[in-house]
Amino acid sequence: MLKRMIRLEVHKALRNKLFYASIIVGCAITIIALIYNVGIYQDAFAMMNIADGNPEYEGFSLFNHWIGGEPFSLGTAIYFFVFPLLVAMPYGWSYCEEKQCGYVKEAVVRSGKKVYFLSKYIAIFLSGGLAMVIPLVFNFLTTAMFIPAVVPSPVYCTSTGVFFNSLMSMLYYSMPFLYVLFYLAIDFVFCGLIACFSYGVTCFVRNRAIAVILPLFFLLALHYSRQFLFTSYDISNREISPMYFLRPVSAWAQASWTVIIVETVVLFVITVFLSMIWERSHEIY
Amino acid sequence: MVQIEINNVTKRIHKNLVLQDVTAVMHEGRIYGLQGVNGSGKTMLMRTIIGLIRPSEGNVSINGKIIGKDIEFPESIGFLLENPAFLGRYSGFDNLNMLAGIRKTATVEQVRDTIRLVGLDPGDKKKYRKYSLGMKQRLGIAAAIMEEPDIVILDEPTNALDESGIYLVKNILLRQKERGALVIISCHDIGILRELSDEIFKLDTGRIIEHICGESDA
Repeated sequence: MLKRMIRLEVHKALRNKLFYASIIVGCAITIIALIYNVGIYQDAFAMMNIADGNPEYEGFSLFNHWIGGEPFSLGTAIYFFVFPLLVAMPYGWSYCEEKQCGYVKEAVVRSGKKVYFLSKYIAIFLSGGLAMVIPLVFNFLTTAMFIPAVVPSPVYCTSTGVFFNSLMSMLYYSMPFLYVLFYLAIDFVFCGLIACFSYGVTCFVRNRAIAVILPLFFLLALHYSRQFLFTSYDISNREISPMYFLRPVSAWAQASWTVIIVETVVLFVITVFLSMIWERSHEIY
Repeated sequence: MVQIEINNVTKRIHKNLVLQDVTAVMHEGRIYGLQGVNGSGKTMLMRTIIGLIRPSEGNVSINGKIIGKDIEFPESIGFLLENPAFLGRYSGFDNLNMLAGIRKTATVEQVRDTIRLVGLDPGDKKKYRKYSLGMKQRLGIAAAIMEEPDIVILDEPTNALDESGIYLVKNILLRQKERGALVIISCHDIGILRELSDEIFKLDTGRIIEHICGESDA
């Protein structure tokens, strides 16, 4: 029963227009970053050829020119700002719709509440994670068509943005593909949970648009709370905003495992409580 | 053998008593009618039997298994409560096929046959949100009966239906009774209710005020 229900929910989550729209918008934003990065790579390389000097191959690599490898282009700024919308848009609102139209009654009586809420949680998690990661992978692959995947050298750490105290910096300078995979996994999990946060919100709100927008406001609150939290020296070393620490290179402070794990666990506990415990204990009208 | 026992069920929502000490026993192969004005507790009683809401006092049991204690929901039940409840972005067939896929108790062919039985076209690609009220109602009835459940609960099944639709519903209900299902219906048309029901429970302000035998029992 659980397998069948998960398959059904995943089918509904991944084969709907809003999932496709989210992927298309995400990929379109990453193309802005692609155009910029390929442009500066070609300009810089042309300049070096003219000067007939050190080409600095290791300073110009795929790993610091894809959307996750640089923190300054417009495409990167937009993508890592709107991603909470992109991950909640595919299916985070679905429970709201099913509750409103009464479909939840039909499904729950056939499957049981536990199976229904669990399968919905899994489907929303997957849709959110994929909506984040697919445009990033798309950008990585398209950038790789123009810029060689040279293993970066720590000598050029000012070009790469990954310093000795950065998260997984050893991995970045030794096995950069693995570093990218690790970051994609972190982004997948965290964004899956953000989509589930939207699902949790639908336990209280009746408006689908609010359910999709609220995770963005939640992350913005966390993002701007850095302004006053950074007055503490202990915190100033660590990036607490997901809008920054989900980027594989630091835009501000360094990402830390402690912050990532704590925020992931808090998000997991909140979303599981709201969707699997709180809502499950309620009657269905 | 299916038997529903409603034992002294009382339901309080905030301070309102929507069901008061309701007691009834229902058996398979019979049609039970719920009669009453709006707000008399018909739909709330149906929700309680389905297991969607929990009684504040008393209990409902199916074959001796108490809902909410021994079982979460009745094991074999089909229902149409108030308005048909489907996803607007899918066709009628897709909606029913997805629901049938949860328990796998109805095959794709059975789903198609049931849609045909209620007078709709299973090949119709039209999205559910574009259906007329009558078509939605027919699809709701199809969802309730497609898995041939032991218990069929239909709340106002003739709503939005034309004469041919009402005739169809009557036939469907009698067919459900013939195959041994326990059927519970509510209807504002007392004539239809009396024509179809073996027993009628008349409700008022959440209480059963009268228990009468219908014409079909005579």
